[in-house]
Amino acid sequence: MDQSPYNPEELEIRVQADWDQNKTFEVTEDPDAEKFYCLSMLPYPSGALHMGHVRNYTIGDVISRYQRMLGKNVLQPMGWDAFGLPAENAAIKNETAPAKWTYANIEHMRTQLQRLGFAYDWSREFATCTPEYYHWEQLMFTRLMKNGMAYRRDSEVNWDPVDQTVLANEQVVDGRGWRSGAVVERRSIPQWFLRITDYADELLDGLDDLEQWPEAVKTMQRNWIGRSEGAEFEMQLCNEQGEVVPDAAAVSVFTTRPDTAFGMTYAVLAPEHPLVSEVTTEVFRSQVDSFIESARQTSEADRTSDEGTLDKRGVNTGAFLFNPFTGRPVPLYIADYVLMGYGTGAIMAVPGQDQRDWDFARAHDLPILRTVETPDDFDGEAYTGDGVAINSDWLNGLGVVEAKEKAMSWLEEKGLGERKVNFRLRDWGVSRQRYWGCPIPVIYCPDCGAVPVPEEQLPVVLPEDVTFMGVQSPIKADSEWRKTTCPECGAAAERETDTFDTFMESSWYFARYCSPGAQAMVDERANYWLPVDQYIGGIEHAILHLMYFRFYHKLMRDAGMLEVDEPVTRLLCQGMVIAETFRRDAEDGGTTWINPADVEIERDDKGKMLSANLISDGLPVEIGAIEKMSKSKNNGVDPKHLVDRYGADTVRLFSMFASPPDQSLEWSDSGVKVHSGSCAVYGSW
Amino acid sequence: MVTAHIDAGSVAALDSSELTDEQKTIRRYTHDTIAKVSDDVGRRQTFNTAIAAVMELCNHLGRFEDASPQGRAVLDEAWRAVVRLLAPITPHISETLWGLLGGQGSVVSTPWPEVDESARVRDLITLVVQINGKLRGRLEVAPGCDEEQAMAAAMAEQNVSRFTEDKTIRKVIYIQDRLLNIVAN
Repeated sequence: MDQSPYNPEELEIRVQADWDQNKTFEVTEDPDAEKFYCLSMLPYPSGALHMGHVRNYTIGDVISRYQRMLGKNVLQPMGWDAFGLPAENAAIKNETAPAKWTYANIEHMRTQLQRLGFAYDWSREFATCTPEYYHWEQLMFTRLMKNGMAYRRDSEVNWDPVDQTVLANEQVVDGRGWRSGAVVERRSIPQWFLRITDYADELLDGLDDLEQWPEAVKTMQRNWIGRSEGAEFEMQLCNEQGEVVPDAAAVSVFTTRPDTAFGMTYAVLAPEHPLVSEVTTEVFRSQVDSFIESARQTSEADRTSDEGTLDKRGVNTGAFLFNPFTGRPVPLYIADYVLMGYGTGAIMAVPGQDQRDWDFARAHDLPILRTVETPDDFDGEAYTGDGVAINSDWLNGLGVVEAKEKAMSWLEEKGLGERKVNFRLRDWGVSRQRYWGCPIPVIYCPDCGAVPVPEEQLPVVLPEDVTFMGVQSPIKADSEWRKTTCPECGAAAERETDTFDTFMESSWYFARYCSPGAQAMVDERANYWLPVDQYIGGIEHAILHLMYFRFYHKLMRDAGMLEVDEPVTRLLCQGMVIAETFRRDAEDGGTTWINPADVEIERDDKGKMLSANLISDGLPVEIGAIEKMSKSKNNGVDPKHLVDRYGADTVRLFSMFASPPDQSLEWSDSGVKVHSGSCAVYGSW
Repeated sequence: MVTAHIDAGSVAALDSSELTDEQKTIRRYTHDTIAKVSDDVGRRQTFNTAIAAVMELCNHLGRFEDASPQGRAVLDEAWRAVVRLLAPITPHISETLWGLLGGQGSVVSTPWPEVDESARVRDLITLVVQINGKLRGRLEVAPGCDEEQAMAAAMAEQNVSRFTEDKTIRKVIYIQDRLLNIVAN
């Protein structure tokens, strides 16, 4: 018997060569075998694997291999989510084309994955930035244009006035362009949207059937969809005495609490509300105008956050609305926290029962009236709990549920309003003014308008051999690329130069893996493999990716391509990989983060750190918190070094052993060493 | 550990009717571990506890020194289970060891080990005996024995019976295979 020492590299590479040669992990559809589709979220080819990838993919690989040993026909594919902004940033920095940078990264990362011994069917691999892939995404979009699921409307973007380009949110630093330093403006430009809101009810109800999804993810999705039941009713413009102005405009408001309407002490319009200009009185016009201008420069995220003092976030219009419940007037304000995109863009304000209204009322010296009796021990401000209606005339004495019901019936009987369901979910804006993405397949004709590129002219190929001149997209900077003719009338026309949000590619890749080489988005093979039996990825994708791909799956189902209703049966969200951080104050007043590999640590018997010194100079460093591995804190561990030193099995074993998969994994070098020992002892080399 | 077992040479066929108590215990550990790891990996997805369970089994196997034909057979069954239980997590070394153990084909396509429920049945189980809520002894009894048998066994133990001498037994609380609590004063 060979008793040479345990040499993982030699052993592992030999075993991997056997798997390769025998095409061990290549699978085909077998109607007689039970299938199992195990999928890990595909990586962005950033340049190198990090420990989060290793953990994610090891979990997926363990599940795949286990299911295979149970006798199932297991599909575990891998590919690359290859479009995105980092490639553009790298291109500008290094003067390389984004395509070249991306493909080089893919080559490198594929080698790293293979060295870890993951049981992938590599024959199905693809990168989403290739025309062979995005061709079908474009085709689908042109069909969605035709059936009205895709539409175009004005929407706001970040505009850099110096670079003359739209910036992504990540490119705006403290309100300024990341390269020009110019103050970024909000600008409204036409963009494409997908009607995800048409599927709001199904996306919400479907969550109830996803029994093997983490409750936390489903809760986040429910909140994001934000279904609320309430009433929409009209209030007419009136004078300060409550006399309705004849033929004057009426304002529609949506409320989930019509039972509190007797406590309305003011009303609020969104700054963009079309009636603002009409209702504003001359005395207040200049302050209203300047407020609208400043709100226009504020992002939606800032407007809905709780930061900032409310006295600066709204102004009086001088107008009054007639409250039909009380028969009395309430003053009408505008405030930036009311968004035109939600409900009707107008609200009734009830400070007694809503904390933001309470704060706003206090800041603007508006009256506060409670209409729900508070419990004896209540010492807060606005009260949102259950209780008996007070100060509410014919609602007095009723509980919240009964009072709501009676108020809604009353509105309907009087013909003032109706019951209404509202969603927080907005339609999905898919236009990006970036270069490194899938071209949106649309042609603009001066006579025919926006025309989908005909199917036989697809794909619209993104030129890959480009040079960046500044930040602007090369296909926008190039006046020739966009020139084309209208497919309908033959006149000179221009191509869309925007590209898709990269969430589009990751919304259907799971189905494409099932149909390699198909001359369509997918073929019948997808119905053999789908739904994905097990999906593994980070909890940070709980809302956007995991919502969009459920939606897109339903679009594909409704286009007759897929049979099942949901893409994934069981979802596992793995925890973060965390590690110790070390730092020193830099001479320029900032902080220098030092990689744990460069630090010598002394510990007590319990593993607690006693001291930490920089190896190169022997002097102490400050010990920081244990945080998620990141470039900014320089506390990452390079998987490559670990695999080179200990072998793939040991790295896999430690990443699975150190904590349950959904919890944070604290990386420790000593832990890995122990497990290297385990592997060796187990074999007794 | 695995290679030490392999180096010891050929292995006889396992005959579960011919096992000593110690050999039966090792088989019970093996099949309890298969059951736990299957549940941890398949249903609970707690891979950390699955690995811990295999390590515990390995510790038992490491201490089991029985070169008799049936001892070797029990050990061989156990190592073949361990290699397959770890194959999804540490596939390379498991593949290599599977070959050395004489396993057929690649471990990748080898069936997951099956639980032999009969190996998990304990001939005797430990019954906790309390007098007035205080622990007074442990009894080795056959699984599923009834209250009468358990009481008889308990009274036969001096450690138990001396606490009930000169007292009247007021009440007996019996949880089968777990606990016998005698209230006496």
